[in-house]
Amino acid sequence: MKRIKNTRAFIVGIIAAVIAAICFAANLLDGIELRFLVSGFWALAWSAMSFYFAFSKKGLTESVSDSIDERDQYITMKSGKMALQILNYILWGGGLISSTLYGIFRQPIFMIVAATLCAVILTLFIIILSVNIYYEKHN
Amino acid sequence: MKTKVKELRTRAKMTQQQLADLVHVSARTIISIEKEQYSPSLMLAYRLAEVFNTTVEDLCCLEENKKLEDERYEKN
Repeated sequence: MKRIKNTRAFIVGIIAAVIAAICFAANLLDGIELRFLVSGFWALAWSAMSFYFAFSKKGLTESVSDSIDERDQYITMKSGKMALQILNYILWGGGLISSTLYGIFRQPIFMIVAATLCAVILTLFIIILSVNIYYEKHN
Repeated sequence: MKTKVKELRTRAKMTQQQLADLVHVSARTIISIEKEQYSPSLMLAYRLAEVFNTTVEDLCCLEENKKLEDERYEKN
C-alpha cells in the first residue's frame, strides 16, 4: 500500500469524494439537474487531484516538520499559545464592547455581533478542551 | 539554563554552525543555548556532551542549576 505523504490533501480528497457522491445521488433521486451534475464532476476532479497530491507530494506541514529542530517546535508552541491568548482577548473585548453598544444604542446588529463572538469563544473553548483531553491521554 | 556549551565550543575551536551540524540542529539553537535563552532537550544535551567528550551533568552544570532552582523554590 502506498504511504500517505500529505494528510491534509488526503482528508480533502475524502471530503470532495463524499460531496461528489452526494451530488450524483441527488441527480439519481431527483432527476438530472445541471447544477448537481456540474458540482458532482467538479468535486470528483477535486477529489482525484487531492488524492494524487496526497500520495505523490509532501504537504507543507510534512515538509516543514522534516526541517525543523526542537527549538523551532518549542517556539511554535509558545507562539501558538500567545496567539491564542491574544485572539481570546480580542474576542472577549469585541463581545464586551458590542454588548455595551447594544445597551446604549439598542441596535440589534450589536447584539448579533456580541452573540457571534460569544459563540466563537465557546467553540474555541470546546476545541481547546478536547485537544487538551486528547493530549492528556495520548502523551 | 546555564551550560558550558560556549566555553567548550570555544576551547574546541568550533564555529556555532559546525557544532549545530554535528548535533543536527540549527545554528540559532546553539546561539540560544549559549545565551541561556533555551534549555536543550535531554537528547540534545547528550549529543552535545558526546561531541565535547564530557557528561551531560558537567555540560549542563546540573549541580549548580539544581541549587539555583532549589533556592528559587524555597523563596516561593
